[in-house]
Amino acid sequence: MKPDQPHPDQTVAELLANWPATIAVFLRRRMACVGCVMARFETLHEAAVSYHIPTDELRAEIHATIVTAAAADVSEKE
Amino acid sequence: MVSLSERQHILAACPLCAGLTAAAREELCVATTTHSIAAHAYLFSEDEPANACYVLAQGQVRLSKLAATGEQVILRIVQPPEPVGIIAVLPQAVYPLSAYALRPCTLLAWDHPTLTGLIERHPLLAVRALHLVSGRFIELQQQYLERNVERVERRLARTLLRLANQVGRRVPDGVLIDLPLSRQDLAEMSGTTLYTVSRTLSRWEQDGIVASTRTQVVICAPHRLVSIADDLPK
Repeated sequence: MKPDQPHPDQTVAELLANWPATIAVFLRRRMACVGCVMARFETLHEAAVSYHIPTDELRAEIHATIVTAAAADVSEKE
Repeated sequence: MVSLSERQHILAACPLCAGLTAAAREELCVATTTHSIAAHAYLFSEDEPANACYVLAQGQVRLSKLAATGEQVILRIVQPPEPVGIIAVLPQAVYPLSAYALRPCTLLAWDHPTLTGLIERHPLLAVRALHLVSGRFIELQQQYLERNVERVERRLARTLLRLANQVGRRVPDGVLIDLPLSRQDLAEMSGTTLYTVSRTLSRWEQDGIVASTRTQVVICAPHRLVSIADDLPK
C-alpha cells in the first residue's frame, strides 16, 4: 500500500505521478508545476519556497487531497 | 462649447504650438472646431481616413492597436494638452491606431485642408509636429530594445531548461547540465551572440539563478529560470 503522506524531499514530478489528484492543488494555487520540465528536479519543499507558501501548509493540503481521493476510490469499489 | 479664451489657453500649453508667435497661435485658435465625445466612445478607429488632427483639451484618450489575435494593445494614454492624430498632416493618410475616450473628452480639431494651410503659412508648425513624431519614435525604439532583450533572455532560459530536461542531474546546489557546454554553444542554440550569453549568464549568476564555469552550468533556482522562460507572473 502506498503511503498517503508525501515527503517534503520528494520531487514534484513523483508526487504528481503517484497521486494525480494533487494536480488540482497546484492548479488551484496557480503554481506552474504541472507540466513543468523542472518538476522532476524540484522537491515539494523547494516548490513551496518558490511560491512563498509554508511547506507544512502545502503538505497538509496535498495530504487532505490524497486522503479524499483514496476514500472516493474505496467507495467506488464497494 | 469651449470659449475662445479657453482654447487660447490650451493651445498655449500644447507642444504643437511651442515657439509660435502670438499672432500665429491666434490664427490656429480661430481655425479650430470643438468636438465633445462621451466616455467609452471612439474618437477615431484604426484604418479610418485621417481627416483631422486634434488637441485634447479635457479628458483622457487611450491609443491602441488591434493585434491579429484580436487583442487590443495599448500604446499610449494621451493627456491634455497633447495632440492626437498628427498623421492627419499628411495627405490621404489613415489613422494607424484607434483613439478611445476613457473619460468624457473635449478636443480642438483642424481638418486636413485647414491644417495644410496653417503649415504653409507657419512652417514652424511642421517642425513642432516633427518634434512630436520624433519623440514618439524614440519612445518606440526604446520599447523595441527592451522587448528584444527580453526575448533573448527568454530564449537562453528555454535553452538551459531544455538541456536540463535532457541531461540534467540533481546536485546539492541545484540542477547540473551534465554536458561540456561553451558560451558559444549556448549562443548558437539560443540564436544570439556570445557576448549576450556571457552578459546574461553573469547577471543571472549575480542574482543566484545559475552558477557557471567555462564549460558547466548549474541551475540553482529552477523556478526563477522557468519564470523567465515562460514569462510567469512575478
